[in-house]
Amino acid sequence: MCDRFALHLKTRWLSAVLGLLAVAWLSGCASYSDYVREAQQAMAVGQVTQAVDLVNERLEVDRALDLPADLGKNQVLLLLERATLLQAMGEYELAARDMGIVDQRMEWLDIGTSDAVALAKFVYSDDAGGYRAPAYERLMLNALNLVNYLAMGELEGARVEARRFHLMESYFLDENERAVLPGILGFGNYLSGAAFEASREYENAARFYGRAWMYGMRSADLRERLIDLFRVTGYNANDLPQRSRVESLLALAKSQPAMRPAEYREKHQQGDTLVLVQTGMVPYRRANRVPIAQALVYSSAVYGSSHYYYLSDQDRMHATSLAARGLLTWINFPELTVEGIPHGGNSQVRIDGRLLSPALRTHVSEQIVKAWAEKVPVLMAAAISRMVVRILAGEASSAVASAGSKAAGGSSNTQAVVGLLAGVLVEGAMVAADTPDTRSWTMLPAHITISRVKLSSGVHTVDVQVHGYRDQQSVRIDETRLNVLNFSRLR
Amino acid sequence: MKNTSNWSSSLILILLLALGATGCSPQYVRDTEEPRLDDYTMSLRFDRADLERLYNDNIKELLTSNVARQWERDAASSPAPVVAIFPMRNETSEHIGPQLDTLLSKFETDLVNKSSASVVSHENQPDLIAEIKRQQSDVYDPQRLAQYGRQLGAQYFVTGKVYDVAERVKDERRVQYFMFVQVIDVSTGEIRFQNESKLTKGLIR
Repeated sequence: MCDRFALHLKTRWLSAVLGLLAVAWLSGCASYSDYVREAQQAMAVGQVTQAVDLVNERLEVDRALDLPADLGKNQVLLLLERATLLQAMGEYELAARDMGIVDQRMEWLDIGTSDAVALAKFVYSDDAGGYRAPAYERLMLNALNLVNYLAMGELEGARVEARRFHLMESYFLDENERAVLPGILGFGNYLSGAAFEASREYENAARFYGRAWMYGMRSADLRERLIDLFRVTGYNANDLPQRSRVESLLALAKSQPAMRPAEYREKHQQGDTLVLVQTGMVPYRRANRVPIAQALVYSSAVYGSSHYYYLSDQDRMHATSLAARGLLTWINFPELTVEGIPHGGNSQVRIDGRLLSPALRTHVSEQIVKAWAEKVPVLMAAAISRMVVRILAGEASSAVASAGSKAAGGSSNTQAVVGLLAGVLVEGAMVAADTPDTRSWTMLPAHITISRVKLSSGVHTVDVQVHGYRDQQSVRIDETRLNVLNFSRLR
Repeated sequence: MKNTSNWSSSLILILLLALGATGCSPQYVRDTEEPRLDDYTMSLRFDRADLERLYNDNIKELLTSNVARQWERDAASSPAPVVAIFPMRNETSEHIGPQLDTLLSKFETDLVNKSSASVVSHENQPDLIAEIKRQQSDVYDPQRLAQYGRQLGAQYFVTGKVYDVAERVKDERRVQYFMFVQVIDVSTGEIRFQNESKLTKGLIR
C-alpha cells in the first residue's frame, strides 16, 4: 500500500513537471498583448518616441531607420505598430516604407474560404504560421498609408495606395463584411477620391468620392464636390454597386450646365486643406475562458428568423458528452477589450484660432467590434471542434500507452503510470497550444475625424485638443495643391 | 520496462529535435555565395530579371525606330537633338517608381552610347524629377511637357507609362503589367515612338 502511494506521488510529481515542460515548450512566451503593453501605454499618454523605442527593442533594432533582419512571427505586425507611431511623429517617409513592407508580407484571414483548421489557427497561437490579419486591418493599412503619401504630397504613391485599397475592397470582402465596415470603406474611398482629385484625374475622383458617399460619408462639402465632379466628367456611376444612393446627386448635376476643370479647381481646390485627427486606440484581444455552455451558444447565430449552427452535429454531440463527463469545462478564446487604453473621439481643431467643425467621422472601434462579433460564431465553432478533437486524442493516447505497457509485461501500476503520463502530456500540450492568439494591430486609432477648409498660402497655426491635451503646430500651406495635415500623437 | 525506456528516449529525442529546429537564424548572403539568389522571385514588383526583360523588349525597337534614324540625320547636318529622360507614369497598384527610374537609366545609358542624340543627364535633374512626381497627373499634358522641355533645353522626352490588371483570388495574386515606352516631341506633344511590352507576376500557393 505504501509502495503504491509512493509511486502515486512520484507519478504525480513527474506528470506535473512534464506537463509544465510541455506548457513551457509549446506556449513559448507571453502573449502579444503582453508583449506590446508598455508601448501601448506610452502611446496612450502621448509618449510616442518612447513607444517607438520600445517597439524597436522588440524588433531588435537600434533606431526607426533600421529594419529587422528577420520578418517572421510577430515582426511584421510590430513593424506595422512602429509605422503607426512614426506617422504620429510626422515621419511619413519611414512610416510609408514600413507600411509598404508590411503590405507585401502580411497575410489575411479569409473567413469565407478557410476551413476549420485554418480558422482555429487564427484563434490560437500557431508558431508555424505568421499573423493573419482580418479584413479591417488590411483596409486600414492601405488607408493610413494613403495618409502618409498625401501628407508628403506624393500623389503618385497616394494613387498606388488608393488602387491597392480598391483591390482589397473588390477582391477580399464579401457582402457581410462590406455591410459591417461601411465607415472604414467610406474613409478609404474618401481619401482615394482626394488623391485622384488632387492629381486632377476627375473621373477617378468622382468614382471614389461616389463610393465614399455610398458607404455613408456625408457632408455638405462632399455633396458639392460630387455634383461638380459629375458636371466636369459626365461620370454616370454605373459601376457603383449601389448607384441608387448617388442618383439624386446625378440628377442635380444633370440639371446644371457642364463645368470646366479650371472652374472646378477654382471652386474646390484653391487652398484645399484636409485636417485628420486620429484619437483613441482600437480594442485589443486578450485571452478569456468561456464556459462550454456559453461557448456552444456563441457558436451559433441568428440571421433573420433562422438559427444557424456553425458546429457540426457530431462535434456538438461530442462537446456535450465531454462536458457532461467534466472533461470539457471551458474554451480558451480571445475577447476584445478596451481596458487601459484611451477611447478617443473627443477632439477639437482650431486653425489660426478659428474652430473647425469636423465634416466626417469614422468610428473605427465600433466597426471592429461589429466585424469581430460577426466572426465569433464561426471562430468559436472552430475552437470547440479543435478542443473536442484534442480531448479525444488525449483519451486515445492514454489508452494506447496503457496497452503498450501491458504488452511489455508491466505491472498494473506501471500501466497506470504510463497511461497517466501520456494523458498528462497530451493534456499539457492541449492547454499550452490553446493559448488564444491575442495578436492585433493595437496602435490603430479608435476614431478619425476629417475637417476640410480652404487656406491661403503661408504659415498657419493648427491647434488640436484631445481630452484637454494640446498639439500645436505651425504648418506651411501651398494653395496650389492639396494640403494634408495629420494629427495622431495625442490619443 | 525496455519499451517504456525506449518511449522515454524517443520523447526526449523529439523534444530536442523540435528545440533544435527553432534555432535556425537568417543570414545575409551575396550572389557569389548563393548563385541562385537572383533567380528567386521575391515580390510582385519588378526585380532585375524583370527590368532586363523589359529593357530588352524596348531598347532595340527604340534604337532602330524612325525617330532614332531622324536624330542621326539631324546630328549629321546640325547640332544633335537634345533628348531628356522624363519619369515614367506609374498607373499600377504597386510602388514600382524606383524600378521604373532604373529602367529609364538603362535607356539613358544606351541612348548616350548608341544613338546620335545629346542626352540630358537623368541624374542631374533630381529636383525637377522630384517635382514632377509630386505633381498632378496632367503633368504629362503636351503643354506642361513643353514647359519642362524648355526648362531642360530638350526637344524630345523619352518616357512611358505602366498600367496593370491586378487580381486576387483567395490568397493568390496576379499582376499583369503593360508598359508603353514613348518618345514625345516636346514642341508638338506628338508621340514619335511607342512600344508595348507585357509582363505578369503572381503569388501562387
